[in-house]
Amino acid sequence: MSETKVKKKNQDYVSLKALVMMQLKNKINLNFLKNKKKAFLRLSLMLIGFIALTVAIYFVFYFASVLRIFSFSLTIPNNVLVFIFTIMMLLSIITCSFGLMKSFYFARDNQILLTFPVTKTKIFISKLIVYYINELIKSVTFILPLFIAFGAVNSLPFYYYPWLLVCLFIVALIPVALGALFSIPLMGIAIVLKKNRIVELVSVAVFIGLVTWGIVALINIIPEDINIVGSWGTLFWDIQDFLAGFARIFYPFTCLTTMMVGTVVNLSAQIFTLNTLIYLVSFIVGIAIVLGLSFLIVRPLFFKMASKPFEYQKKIIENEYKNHKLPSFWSGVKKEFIDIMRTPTKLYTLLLIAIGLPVAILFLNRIFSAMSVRLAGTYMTIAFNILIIVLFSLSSNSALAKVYSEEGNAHYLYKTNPQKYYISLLPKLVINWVVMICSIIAATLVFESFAGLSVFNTIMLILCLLCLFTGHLFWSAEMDIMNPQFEQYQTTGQNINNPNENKSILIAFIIAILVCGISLFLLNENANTVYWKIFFFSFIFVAYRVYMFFTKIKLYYLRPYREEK
Amino acid sequence: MKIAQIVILATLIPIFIAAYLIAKFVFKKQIPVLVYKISAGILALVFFVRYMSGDDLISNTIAGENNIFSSGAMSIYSIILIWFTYASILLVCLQPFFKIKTVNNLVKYFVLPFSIIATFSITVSTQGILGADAYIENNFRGILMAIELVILVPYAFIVFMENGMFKMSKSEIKYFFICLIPMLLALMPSYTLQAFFGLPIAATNVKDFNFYHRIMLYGAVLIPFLIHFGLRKQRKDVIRFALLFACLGTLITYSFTKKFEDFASITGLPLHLCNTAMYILPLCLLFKWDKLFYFTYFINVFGAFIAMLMPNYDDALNIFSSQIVNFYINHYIAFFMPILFVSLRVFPRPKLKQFIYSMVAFVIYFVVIVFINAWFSNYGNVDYFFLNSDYVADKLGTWAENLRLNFIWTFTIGGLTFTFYPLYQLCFMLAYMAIGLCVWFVFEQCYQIADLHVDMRHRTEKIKLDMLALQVRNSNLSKEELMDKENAVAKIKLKHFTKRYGNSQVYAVKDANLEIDGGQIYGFLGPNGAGKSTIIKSIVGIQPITEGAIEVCGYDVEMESVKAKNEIGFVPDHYALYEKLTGREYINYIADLYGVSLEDRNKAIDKYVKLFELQGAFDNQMKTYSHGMKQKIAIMAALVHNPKVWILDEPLTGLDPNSIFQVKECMKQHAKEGNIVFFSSHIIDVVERICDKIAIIKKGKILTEKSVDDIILSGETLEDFYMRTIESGSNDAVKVDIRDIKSAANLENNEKKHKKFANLFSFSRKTDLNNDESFNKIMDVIEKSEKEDK
Repeated sequence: MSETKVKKKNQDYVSLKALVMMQLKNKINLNFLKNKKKAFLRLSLMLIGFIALTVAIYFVFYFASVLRIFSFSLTIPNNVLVFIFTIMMLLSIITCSFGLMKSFYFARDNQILLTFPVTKTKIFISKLIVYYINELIKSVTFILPLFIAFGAVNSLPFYYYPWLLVCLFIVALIPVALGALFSIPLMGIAIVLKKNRIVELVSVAVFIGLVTWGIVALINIIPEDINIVGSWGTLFWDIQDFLAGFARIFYPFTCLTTMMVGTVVNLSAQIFTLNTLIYLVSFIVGIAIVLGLSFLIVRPLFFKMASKPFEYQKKIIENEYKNHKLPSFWSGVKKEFIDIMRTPTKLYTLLLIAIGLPVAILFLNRIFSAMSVRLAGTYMTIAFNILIIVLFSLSSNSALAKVYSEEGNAHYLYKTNPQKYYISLLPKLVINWVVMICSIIAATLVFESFAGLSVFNTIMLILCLLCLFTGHLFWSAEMDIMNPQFEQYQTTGQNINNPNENKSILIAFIIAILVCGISLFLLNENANTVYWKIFFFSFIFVAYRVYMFFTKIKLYYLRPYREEK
Repeated sequence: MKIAQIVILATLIPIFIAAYLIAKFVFKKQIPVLVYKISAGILALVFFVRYMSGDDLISNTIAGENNIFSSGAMSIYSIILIWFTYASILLVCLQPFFKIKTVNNLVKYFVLPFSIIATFSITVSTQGILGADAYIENNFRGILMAIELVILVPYAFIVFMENGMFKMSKSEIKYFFICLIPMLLALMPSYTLQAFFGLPIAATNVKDFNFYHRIMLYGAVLIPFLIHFGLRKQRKDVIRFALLFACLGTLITYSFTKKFEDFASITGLPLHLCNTAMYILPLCLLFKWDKLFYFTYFINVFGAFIAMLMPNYDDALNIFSSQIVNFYINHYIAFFMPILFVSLRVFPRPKLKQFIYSMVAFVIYFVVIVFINAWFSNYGNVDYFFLNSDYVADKLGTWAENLRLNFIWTFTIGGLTFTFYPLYQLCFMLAYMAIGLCVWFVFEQCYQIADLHVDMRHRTEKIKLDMLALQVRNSNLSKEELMDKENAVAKIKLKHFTKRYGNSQVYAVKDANLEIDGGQIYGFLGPNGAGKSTIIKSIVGIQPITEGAIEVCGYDVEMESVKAKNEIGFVPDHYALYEKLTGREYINYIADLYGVSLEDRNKAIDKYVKLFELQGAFDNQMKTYSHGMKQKIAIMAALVHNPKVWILDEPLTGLDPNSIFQVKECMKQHAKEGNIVFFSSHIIDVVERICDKIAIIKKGKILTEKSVDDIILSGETLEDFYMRTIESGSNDAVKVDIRDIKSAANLENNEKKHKKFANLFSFSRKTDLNNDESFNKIMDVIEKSEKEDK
């Protein structure tokens, strides 16, 4: 090989490495590697986490084997692993498909990457490599512990473990290869939905409706009298049938699992069989074909989409829109409504929690109602229901612990506009408040239908939950106002470790535990008076938090106070 | 006995009063304080000896029934006499040591009439305390009771005579009653409730967080809050008096079960942790023993808290029984008094040093108690601090029981057997010390909350004061002047404006003075970090002002921020828009915030959409806009309400030449209409071409302010002038005088200010601002306050 060829090859490698590293740093925080101490600490923590997860899975498998849940022998059958592994892989494929769709066709960094002195193919490959590395890390973090624990419980031979590591390199390739291919139809759907807002909204509504209906239908399947011990004989074979059916449907993943863990022959595990070789070759060939197809189909599409400037994607609006005058407060609410409707992540998260809460309560109560419990058990059920509703609803407030900081530079408007401080601040809380209140009322009514509370007690419970939710909502918003995180949002548009969000969740957790504890205690004393008593406490809580919110923001916004000389 | 008492009372009281009256008319001098103090001391000694020498026999009264009086009413009357006598004695004992008007009034109007009644009813009270012994002629406790009244009556009479007799303002009457009730409650004998109301709820155990137990626990939280909020604004000596009275009063009540004879018994000494607090707290207050105080602060509070949660009294006791009342009086005091001492600033907040002192004191206490337990066990059943029994171990579980019983160390010296549980006791001590550390953490958290509230209160009051000053100032203006203010011409005024960020040692801007009139385009020049954006952000209300004032169109940007902001349109250095909105939605939102009518906004929007050529894109989401388009939307948002003052912070950065031209034209047009265009820029050419006047700022100081025409007439370009001015300006940043920061941390200063504000508010509440005289008075107060501030 001539010297110039070697030089060019080196240069190719260097530029590809630079591209990969640049994008990888954006995806994974690698800053800790710069400092040896930090790197050691971080890696130690990761190792501890890895060991802890492995041990936890091992114990789950161990107890399942001891209890003979999946098998008559003291082992875990392959089909169990197929079930878990397939779900993990499907999730990975979905994540990769969406991620690659964004990365290939809609990422803003494409505009910058295209200006670098590298070929477009190299940019394309670099993007695939970045996703591959990301998948590899995920596999090591989650799939490896699962397989190690499986090997330990089933006493697989020592060479199984190094073989696992080899397999992981192939396993991590699958979601990336399939994701690249699937990204094309997804991109098509995304473009259609982007262009037709109504279609998007209808599809989302239909999807949410179907999912909710499906879950509720599944919950309703739960028998009215659960007796696991009594019906174990039938249940055991039902589980076996389900696992076998699952393995049949997801046959490629069954093959992949078999390739990694081998098969059981005459009660002893055989890792390497002829099937292993066949599967290995098939997967390598399959992945190569999929990657080749991606390269042929996706690469040109990527070039086309990456070159499209975003700012000129707008369509010319021909309809003449009219201006509308609204009172300042309602104008703010309208602005927030538009913002939420046009930000899918915000909208879906809110809807997920709002719909998830009553569904979770329905599920919980179906299970509880199917169990035969004593009086203490009934009280615990009520307390647990309260815990879940409070925890769910209050956790949704963590989104409000960043609601003002999220606006980044736009935040100046709160201080420069000539309105009373709360007129521009409160609208940001209204939508969440209204949606979650509906959810809390729905969840409480679901709970009431099982618990058979009196009308007065139901009203008291609803008021109590609303007070707790509203108090925590104001508290979360106040955290953000008093300790804003603008800098993070101004520079990156997000804050991975927002202290206010963490604090809000922690407080939600503490409040939920406290309310649950107090309810349980008071229930044991007098089940009839418990609801107005907890309402009384929650009313004090909300009154105090609302007072603190308005006092603090008044001092912060009304007239910027002078720092004492 | 009755005769002896009557003789003493009938002779000595008139003699003392007569002696006082003669001395008063002959010498015409006030009685020296020393006389009061000596009298109080003698009274305290007499009371101490009498009280500690025996029990109040009436303490076994239930619902007015006892074996002393045949009538229930007489029993109740006797108890009231005894109760009020204790309160009167304590008041008189403390009165000469504090110069507090309300205390004098309490002595004048409560002690004097009551002691006269008590004198005439001495047989009832004596019988209540001594029972059948009241008929023994030489019973010394009966004699001492008479002596108490012999001191009380003349003392209260002298105080009455010396302190204006019947003079009492309305507020004094109010305070008299507000103070009388808690003072009496502090001294209520623990048997009062059972004597008055009986034991209506049969065999109710006040335990296991049941309703009655919870009521007592709520009391532990509510009472300190009430005391704190009642006393927090009072003078230091008033706080000290109130706390001392509460501590001594409850000590008297608590000592109902701890008389001399109890001290003679080795098993009845008050060596339990919470019992010690009853004695330590008044001693700490009297003698300011801070080291000892922090011992109770870190150790007793938690001990009392746990004791209240898991009380060790009998299950059969009723909530009104004297034992329960006594238990809670003892534990309430041990629980919240140390906290109140610190929250009311009688003792400073502890630091690590004090924590170490308290731990050392605890170790000493612990070792002493362990030894005393082992030693005294030879003579009886002792269990001080529950270290000798399995009371605590039993609650903790089998492991603690095993720890206690598996490691026992026993030895005999001189026939006395000493038994220790070394491992259990060591663990007990270490656990308690660890809890002390946790208590410190909890206290710190509570202080942070308390500090936050204090800070909020101070700042709210400051705002109220400013509003009040503004109200007064505005009411001083005639109707015409007010109208003028409403229609004021465009103007920006910076008066000694100074800005410092947080605790920074450097001023961002120091003593800036500017006056900008309407019809001008005013350029603000300076290198990066000079303070341009700081001034702009303070004008528009984004940042607080450290010193000085800023006025926009006659409105103070701090005090009349809403009105001032209404006159301002602001384009920030980094435009920031809600990019999910369309241009139209955004501008309409801003117009709604500024209350622009539909007609005006239609006109403005049409005008600027055409001017900035945004027709095709105005109804698209702003995320699809280019940088220049976004900047144009920011400018539209600033102009939609046609502000008198248009402020732009480096508005031309990143704009294309066409956009720059449009913005410049817009600025010229706006100034032409009599408005101010105030903008900062680094592009000197643009400033030279469009500005009427410029100011140059460097390192927080305005170096010069000049008309652009003058600069050009002097034969210099703006660029040369700028460079010359910047180079000649000092490079040193304006540093803060360290004394300023020290004074910021001066809490007393804040307290003084706070009191000053409080006085002003109370004055303003009573004042009718339409009344000239009242108005002048309030103006005087404000002026005086401002002078003091300066």
